[in-house]
Amino acid sequence: MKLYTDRGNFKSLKVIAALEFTGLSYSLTECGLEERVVPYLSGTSLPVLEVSPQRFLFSPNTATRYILNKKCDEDDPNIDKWLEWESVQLQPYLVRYLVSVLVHKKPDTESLNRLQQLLKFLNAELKSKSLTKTKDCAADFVLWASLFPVFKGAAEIKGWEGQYSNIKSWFNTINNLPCCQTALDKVIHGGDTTCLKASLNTQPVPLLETETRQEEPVQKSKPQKVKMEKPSETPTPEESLLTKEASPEEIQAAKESWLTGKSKFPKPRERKHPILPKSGERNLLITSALPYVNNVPHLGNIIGCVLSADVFSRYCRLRNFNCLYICGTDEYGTATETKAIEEGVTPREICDKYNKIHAEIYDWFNISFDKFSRTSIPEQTKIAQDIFWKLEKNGFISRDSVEQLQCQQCLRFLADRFVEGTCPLCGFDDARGDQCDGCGKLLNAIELKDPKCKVCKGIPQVKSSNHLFLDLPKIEDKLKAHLNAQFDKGIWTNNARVITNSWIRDGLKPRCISRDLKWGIPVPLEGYQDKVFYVWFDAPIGYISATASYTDRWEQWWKNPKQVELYNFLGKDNVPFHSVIFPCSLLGADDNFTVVNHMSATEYLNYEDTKFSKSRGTGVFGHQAKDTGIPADIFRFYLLFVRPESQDSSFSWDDFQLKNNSELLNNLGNFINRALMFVSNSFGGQIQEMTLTPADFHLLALVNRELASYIDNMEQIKLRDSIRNILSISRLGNQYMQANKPWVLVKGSESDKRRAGTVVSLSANLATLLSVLVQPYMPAVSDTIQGQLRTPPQCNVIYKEFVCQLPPGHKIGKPSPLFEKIETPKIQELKKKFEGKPAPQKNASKASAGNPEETQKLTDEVAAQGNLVRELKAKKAEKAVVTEEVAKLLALKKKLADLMGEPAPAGGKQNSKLAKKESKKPEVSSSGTTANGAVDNQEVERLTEAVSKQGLLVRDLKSQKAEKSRIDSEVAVLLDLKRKLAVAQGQDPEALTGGKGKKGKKK
Amino acid sequence: FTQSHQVNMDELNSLASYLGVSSGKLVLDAKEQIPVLKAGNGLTVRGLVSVAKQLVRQSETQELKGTTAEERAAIDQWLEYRVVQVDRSLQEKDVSTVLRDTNAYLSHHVYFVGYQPTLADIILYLGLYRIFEDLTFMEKQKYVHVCRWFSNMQSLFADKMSKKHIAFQRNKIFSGTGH
Repeated sequence: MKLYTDRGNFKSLKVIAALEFTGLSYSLTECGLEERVVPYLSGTSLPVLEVSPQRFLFSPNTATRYILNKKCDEDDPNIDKWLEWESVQLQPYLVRYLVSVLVHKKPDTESLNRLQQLLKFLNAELKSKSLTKTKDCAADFVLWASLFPVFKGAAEIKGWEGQYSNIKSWFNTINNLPCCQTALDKVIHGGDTTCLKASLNTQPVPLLETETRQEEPVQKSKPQKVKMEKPSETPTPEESLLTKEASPEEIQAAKESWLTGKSKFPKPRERKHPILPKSGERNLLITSALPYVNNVPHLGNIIGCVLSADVFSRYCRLRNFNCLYICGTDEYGTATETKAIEEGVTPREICDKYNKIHAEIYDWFNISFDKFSRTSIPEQTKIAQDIFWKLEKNGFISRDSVEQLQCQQCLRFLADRFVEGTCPLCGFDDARGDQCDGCGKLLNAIELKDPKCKVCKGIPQVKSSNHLFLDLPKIEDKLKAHLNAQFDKGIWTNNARVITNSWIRDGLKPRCISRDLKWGIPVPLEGYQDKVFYVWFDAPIGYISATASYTDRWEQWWKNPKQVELYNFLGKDNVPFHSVIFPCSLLGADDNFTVVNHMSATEYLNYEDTKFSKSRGTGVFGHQAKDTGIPADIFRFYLLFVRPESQDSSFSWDDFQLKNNSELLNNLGNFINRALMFVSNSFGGQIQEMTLTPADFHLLALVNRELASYIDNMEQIKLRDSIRNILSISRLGNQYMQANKPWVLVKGSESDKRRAGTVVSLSANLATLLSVLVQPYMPAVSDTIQGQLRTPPQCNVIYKEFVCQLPPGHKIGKPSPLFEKIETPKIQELKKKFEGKPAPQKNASKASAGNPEETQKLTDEVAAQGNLVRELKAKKAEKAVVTEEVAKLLALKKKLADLMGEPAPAGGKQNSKLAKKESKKPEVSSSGTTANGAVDNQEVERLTEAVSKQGLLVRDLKSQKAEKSRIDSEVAVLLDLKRKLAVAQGQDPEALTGGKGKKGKKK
Repeated sequence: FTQSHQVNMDELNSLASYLGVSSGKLVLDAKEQIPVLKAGNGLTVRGLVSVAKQLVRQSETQELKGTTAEERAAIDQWLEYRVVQVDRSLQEKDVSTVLRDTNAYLSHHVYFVGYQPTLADIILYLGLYRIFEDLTFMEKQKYVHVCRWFSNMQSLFADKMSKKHIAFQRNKIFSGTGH
């Protein structure tokens, strides 16, 4: 069983206590505060127990009871009663009370009164000392967990022990159970219930019985409260962030760090290459998935791995962690060989050409690799063959034969793409071995009629070829042990966990790791020397070889699992290779390798409302970004702002323009420029003496809060959320300037002028903080700001508190605007430029039958999905992945066919017969009318007959003076039939019964 | 009595008559406005869900309780959903959340739990009745899966529990709102 919960959710207490009590095995997955786990629930609801894959119990009370029932089955009405009491009566007031105390710091007396009444009732019921006859039952754990936060810690109801002595003795008994103490350790660290705050603030507050409660004074006075705590995308200008409350402790801490923090502020770490792990430090090895060499990466590829990993490693450097960021191009494999044949050059030349293109693109995007390598280097061969030999020695390599086409002239086995012939399904005479372009169906190369070798046009023959397999089932247990430990303590995105688990759940199978190709790492084993390693076997080894080409002491990183934490950044399509296959290779080699500890997998980035497509020229590709004239940092910012972190997102030019103009120009740029201009124009560029007022310290406390959240989000690799923290700080800065109006003060009395000096100098210090925080996202902008401020280099550390970096007397440089406005004509031009040509439409003439826009959209989607499937096949992606994508393709095709009024084409060979059968059937929908709304006469006839028959029956019953209830029920049946008839005839059924009219028009 | 509490009492009475058991000792707690069943042997059950479960326990239709531990838990959670979510969704946005979520769930399930109607279906049918009464045809088309389920439930239970039938269209009558 698997429990999903956010951090510090008191509702998890009961579930964990029950799990610990029964001793059943379970895993605990920590989710983000607003993460959705249950697919059909639209709101947040945590914790959730996954009983078996995709079967969820979203009610913590039910989950608790279910767990205990596993041990000892009960069907006790008293447990029903208490669980219902807790959820219906207690929880609404309890949660409101906790929110009022822990979040708003202002106890809600109305909720407290209600709570007291409920406790009185409970106390009376407990006179028999136990809730039910069953000992330690669900009712005990559920009530204990709910009452804990109001009985202990910051939100304790004072004097409860004296008032409710029965509750006290019952509560203490439960509270002392070891399972409850374990649960407390996991949820409320050190008994400090203030850690429940974030969860309380995010999880939905239980609804109340009546609406009237919602208009109570406490809620009315601060209606915006809860909303403001959450990051809001576009806050309305009048929404003041400065009025947020800060506790006296927060203000005191902010004051201290401002006045004395600089002495504690760490010095920036000097990075001297080669960087090697140091004992006693956090040693982070950060990798970005290796881009495949023969594609020019598009913006989606860039945000998917290299850019995300870049932000994280820049952040780690600013935190003074000892970290190394490596990447490179993945060069071996069929696709490169094919491309080389097409262009008439050697694979090596292709790789040289594209490796350069990649390197240039990443350079333009300012990606700060410590090493950008490639897999076609000698170190790669050495390390890959070494790992292979160790796997072989340990008995994890098995052998089997596979049927394949062999070209007699070229004397080699042909990969699917290298075969051409006639499609066995549609007869198209130029089908490829992996897919037919005529009917779009996926093929098996050996099924092609009249197969030909793509290179020499010779006729290949089916031969069996011996291959090597990595025996994953034998390594499975080691892998599971490793992953279980990492899932518990590491940062894994939800998709990485889910994909990995689904692979393991389906059972691992031996995987072929050899290929009949030339362009690859030679298999060193006797009898297999004409083969090379499958590209996915060697690609991740590229991380190791890249490190080896960076330093000869690479083993300090890669054979040091105790000291090194390995972070993988990748797109979700690469998850299984990084979480299952590569770890299996390393664990199987049994050579103390460093194996993945954290995995951040992104979802997909779409382009506008379609997909990036090289062949159609849709979307921005790496090398084209430069030509837009927009600086790389703006692209970086926007891509990170829409990073597909937990679901697919899309790159939209309109949104790009909006975010640049509203967030960068009007918010961040405006604040920094305004502050600097004031210092420059009104104070000769000199930072003034700062005498801070309580309001200023209040501002600092709010800044510190954002700063803490920024660090927290970064640690969790929630890169989108950290951007929002930065923007909130500059928003606070803008509002601070607006509230203090230095432009008025500066013209006033001497003391007004001094106040103006304080305000702008504090703002300049805030700009310094922002210049450091934006550095991972926009390194060039950060440099510009620091140049204008002439900040000391020592400020480039991210510290947990805001300290004064620019002392009075510091001279700043010349301010100038940081960002440029992007105008609408420019955006229109770019939109058009990257729109690409529309996908080929085979059925363009028929498309007019349906909604043309919709048809166009679907046609595009089908084309894009078709490309994806082809690419996957070409890359020899995992069968399950291909099958899944094919299913999506078929669904899209069906939708398109439905829209155009055609029978759906079936995909894949196995379905072709079925498809033909179906196409002969006339289309009749299951309801009374056919799909296009015409009346189905047969159905009307059937219903008319049924109505008259039922009418007769009712009349008979009435005349026989039958029982009233009998007559009523038959009348109901009659009315229902009449309604159905009306609908079948296309009439309004409500007209019959004289019910209220409906709002919509009838077609 | 406020109206909603009377509705709860009516529901439990019709459930009892449907199950063929006596609800004679069913009263409404005057102070807390909660249905209370005195079930004999000193057992007092309070609350809509607890009483409903107790009525099933006393009846001969045990299959309504679910057959496995998983099913029983799933039923419990939907029963709780009825009292904490459905009954308390009085504002439009909460009502649409209930419709959206149940619709999403029922797009893959015939009944709320398992492959035959259970107490969860009955209690949710009764609870959702008030919401469905107010739906327009356009909304019914929007929430097609939960409507399909509701229509199925009313054909099973409406007459036996003396509920009026609510009309559903059987085909799409509005274009352009389906997607």
